[in-house]
Amino acid sequence: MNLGMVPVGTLLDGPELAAARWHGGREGAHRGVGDVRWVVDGREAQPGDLAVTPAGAAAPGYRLDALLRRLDDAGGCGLLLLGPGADLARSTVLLAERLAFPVLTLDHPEPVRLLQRLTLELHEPDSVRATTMDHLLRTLAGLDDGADILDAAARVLRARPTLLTASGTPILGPVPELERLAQLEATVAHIDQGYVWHPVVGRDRRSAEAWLAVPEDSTAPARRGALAAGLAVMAPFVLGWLSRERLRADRDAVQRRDLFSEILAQGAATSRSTVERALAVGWPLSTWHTAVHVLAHGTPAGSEREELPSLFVRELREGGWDSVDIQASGDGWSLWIDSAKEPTTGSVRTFLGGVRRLCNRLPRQWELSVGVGRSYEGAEGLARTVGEAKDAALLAASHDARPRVEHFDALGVARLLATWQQSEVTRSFAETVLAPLRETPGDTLLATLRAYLDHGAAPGEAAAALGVHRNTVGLRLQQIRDRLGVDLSDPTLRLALHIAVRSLPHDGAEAG
Amino acid sequence: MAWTLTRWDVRALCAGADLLGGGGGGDSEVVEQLLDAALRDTEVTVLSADELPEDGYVIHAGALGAPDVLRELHFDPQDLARAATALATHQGVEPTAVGIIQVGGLNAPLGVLAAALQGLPLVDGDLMGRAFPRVIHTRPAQRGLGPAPLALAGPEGHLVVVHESTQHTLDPLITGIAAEMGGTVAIACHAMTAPEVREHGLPGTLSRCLELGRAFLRARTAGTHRLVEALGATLLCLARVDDTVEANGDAPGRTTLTSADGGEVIRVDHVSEFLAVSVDGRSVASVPTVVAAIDAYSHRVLHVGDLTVGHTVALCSLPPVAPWPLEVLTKVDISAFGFEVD
Repeated sequence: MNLGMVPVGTLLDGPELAAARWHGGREGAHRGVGDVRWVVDGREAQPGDLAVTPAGAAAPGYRLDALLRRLDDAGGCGLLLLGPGADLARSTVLLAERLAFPVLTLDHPEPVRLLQRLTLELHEPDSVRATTMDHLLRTLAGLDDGADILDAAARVLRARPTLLTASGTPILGPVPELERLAQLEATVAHIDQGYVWHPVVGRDRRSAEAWLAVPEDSTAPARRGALAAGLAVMAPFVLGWLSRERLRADRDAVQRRDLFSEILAQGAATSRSTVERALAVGWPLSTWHTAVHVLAHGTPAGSEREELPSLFVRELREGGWDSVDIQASGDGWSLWIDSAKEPTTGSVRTFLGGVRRLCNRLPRQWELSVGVGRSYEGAEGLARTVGEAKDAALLAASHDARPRVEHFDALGVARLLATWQQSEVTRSFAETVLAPLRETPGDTLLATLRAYLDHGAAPGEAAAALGVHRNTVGLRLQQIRDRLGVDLSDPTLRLALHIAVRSLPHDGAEAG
Repeated sequence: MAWTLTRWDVRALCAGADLLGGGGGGDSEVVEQLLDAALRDTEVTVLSADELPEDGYVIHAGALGAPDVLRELHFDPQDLARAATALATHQGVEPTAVGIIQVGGLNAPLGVLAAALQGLPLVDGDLMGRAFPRVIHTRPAQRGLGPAPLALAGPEGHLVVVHESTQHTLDPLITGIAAEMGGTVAIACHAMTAPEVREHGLPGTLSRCLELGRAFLRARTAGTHRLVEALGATLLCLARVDDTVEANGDAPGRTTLTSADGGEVIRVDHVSEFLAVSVDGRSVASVPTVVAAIDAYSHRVLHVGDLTVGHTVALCSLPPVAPWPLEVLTKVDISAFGFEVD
């Protein structure tokens, strides 16, 4: 990262040297200037030097050529001759052009003062940076919260930094506007897509635990340098916070798991200490609880399995339902949402619909089965709704149509339906009515009708459940109407057909 | 081993002398014609310093002043003999041989001419090994054995004998006299005994000059690189003149060139001879090394004044015809001209 040197051109075109006359080597204006040095014959020159010398010391001309050559060999960046701006020898001008080495003359009455001013001008960014860093360090000292650290840094640096995971997901701060994925493989500070990036490197020193990014509001090296240094100062503070958070999360997780098992085990006889500990971890036990149990038969790969609970919780939150917690329970995960009052039937239905849509969005291969329990009050209520959700999840798992989401109430209806399905009358009615649909290969039309009716006559959701395009469902429904000669918009006919479809045993192969 | 210098050696002698002039020493073209005429009926015997009789006496003869004047002013070769005779008379000796003051430039053929006119043998050697701006730059002078007493003979019949002088005043004194006499005068100086010549002279430089001239004439029609190679010289650059500033008084002049192939910036500092050559600010040659400039197309040897803008020239450093001993080197090297180079 070239955040170091100021191009000599900025200094040469600056206010102090406005009156200086250029003789050659303009193309070398990009050379980085490290220091301003008074030179006599050039042998004392160091890399990055802007050499200042009295014109007399560089006369006659051959001496000037030799000086130029030595400065260039030493890695200098320019030569300022103090004295009358007389024409330089042609050889000097040509040599300056050839080496792309800036040569200027300036008639300045106070060379020492000029040298001081140039030095100050050159090192001003350094001093600004040092002051900023000092300020930043003092501000950050004592802060132990990530958001506080970022806010404080934003005030000092006058730019809002963002903390991102090692894979580039924002954790804190504004979301960077990137055109493509940030290149975060190496653990090296760099500039990419208008942002200055700095890794937050952990103990192992090999990989970045997180990244800090800040938009570069100026391409001036000094500003870039200040931002980069600022991020570097922040990194250890952020690392400390991340480590503390992780430690706390680990300790919390253990406590919560134990507590959850206790509540489920104790049921109605919840002890006082359990209630107190629940309060301490932020579980209000006295409110109304509605539990959801999630089973994943598709056994997603390792990291996906780890992320599934948090993903589920996040998706729910986006739908407007804040779950209190999610805990591994049995062979799945139980989560629950709280409400101060008993949820209405409408809100339960809305919630169920939300969970169904959520499950449709998640990958099919996870083979999720989700059960929702009824709402109950108190600690024993939590144990009960979790139990119901587990039962409902098992019922849902027995279905073939996606999404496999059931409410505990469906257990009663399921029994009723089962009675009907086993009735010979219903069975023969179904065989007759649905016969025209059974002539299609793989019972495609029958499966489509089943999905359509299962999803409340919504073609879109049926399409999602079948994994086909919405238009395909529309086309098939038209075929169904044609073959059966029925109007699917008639609720009575739909109910009859739904019972008929449900009463038919099917091989479970979903048409797609 | 004594040998004879004939009319047929004149061209080679002058070519070699031009090269050894290092950009100065005067154009030998006029003298070449005079010498050619003088040697039509005679020859000059050339002796090595070792072959001089022990009680032998050598008077060095040549020209002094602005060499360019010779192109316009009639130079009477008899002035050489007049000056030499005047010096011999003053010293009360009978000279046994004539010596060459500087082998570079027109003073080499002038020394031969002086010998031919006086019917005396010539010493194979000189006192500079190249051309220098001043008569005090001779090797014996740098060792404390000054040119005076000396005699100057001018074209209008003037004859001046300088009995003695200090090293500092001699040069301005005789330069002033030469200027008053018309710009260029014949000079006879450094009246030396045979042992002195053996001790302080630069031996064999006349033979070396002839060899160089012959090599030059042989390879002149070849390519520039072959020519430089034939001279045993080192090519410093093949470059085009961009700018030139004449010397002014003591301040050296300078010529800036750009190399034809690499674009390097070449700087040549000069007074009446080339003093120093630097490429991209790095010194590549300086006095007493002889730097010769050769026109890249005509292969004519160029003088300092011939380097005009647009000219493409080959600059090369010639191998020394006679080494300057270390103890006097600093008196004629680049530092003696006020330069400090790496």
